[in-house]
Amino acid sequence: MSEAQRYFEDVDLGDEYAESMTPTPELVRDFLALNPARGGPGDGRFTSDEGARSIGMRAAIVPGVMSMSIISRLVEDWMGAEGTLHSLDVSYRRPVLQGDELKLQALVTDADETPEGPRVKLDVYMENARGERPLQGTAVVELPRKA
Amino acid sequence: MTTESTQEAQFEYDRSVVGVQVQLGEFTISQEQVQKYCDTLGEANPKFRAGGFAPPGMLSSVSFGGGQALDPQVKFGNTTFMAGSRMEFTQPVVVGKPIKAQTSVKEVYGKTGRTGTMVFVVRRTEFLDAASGDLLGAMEQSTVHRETEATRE
Repeated sequence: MSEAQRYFEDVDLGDEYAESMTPTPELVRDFLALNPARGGPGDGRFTSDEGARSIGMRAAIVPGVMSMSIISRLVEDWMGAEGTLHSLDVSYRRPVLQGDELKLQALVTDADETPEGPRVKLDVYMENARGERPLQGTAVVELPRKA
Repeated sequence: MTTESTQEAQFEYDRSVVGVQVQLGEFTISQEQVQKYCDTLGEANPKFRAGGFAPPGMLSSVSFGGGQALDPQVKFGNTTFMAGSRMEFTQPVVVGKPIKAQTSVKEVYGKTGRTGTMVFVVRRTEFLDAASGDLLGAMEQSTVHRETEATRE
């Protein structure tokens, strides 16, 4: 995970940034505890393999909002403290299984000086060890210019 | 209850809730909540670790203050999954500053694809500065209703 500041001048099309993360059952439990009032489906898909199997999954899965937050974190790490995340748009292609080692990746697909400021578009996705991409999407970020 | 019957799918839902905006209430995000969120997800950005701002992605995972979103009561399939999320952020989320949330069911539609027939519900939630009413961000989430079978292990 990076704490470095990224500047618009340093970004090139095709630049890649990757991190890895394993959403363990403990991390999922901690994430769910952030908002106990919100609850979740009553089938136990996030808390037990048995619950997940009742809806056709192989094992307990990661909540969609957590996957969204993980990808959001990837982009926030990439942009640095002075960057601004403007939008994040993701599709959930298949469930993310708890305990899967995930490669998180961002790829620069556009960098443009707009009237609102220097904007960068990223393709983002997570990939598991089976080569599947359960989540993919795009993010738009504003980066600072060097003084 | 309305029955929707197209070439794509046939299903029932309560059409009267579509487009009706509901106030979810007011809430604030504390530095302690931000810290827990950052610890859980491994967020390293110093803007959020100690800067007085909440990670924007956090808006999708906090409690909104008790209000209940309207349910279109889709009668289709036996389970739901998230299909997609779009978040737009227009202003930074400041720790400790009251936020108001309002939500509506934007759309309900059916679709048949490679894996069968599915019904999608699209909800839009807006986050506003409670004092000024300025839009801080918005989230559109689509959930899919579908039929699944239990997996045998």
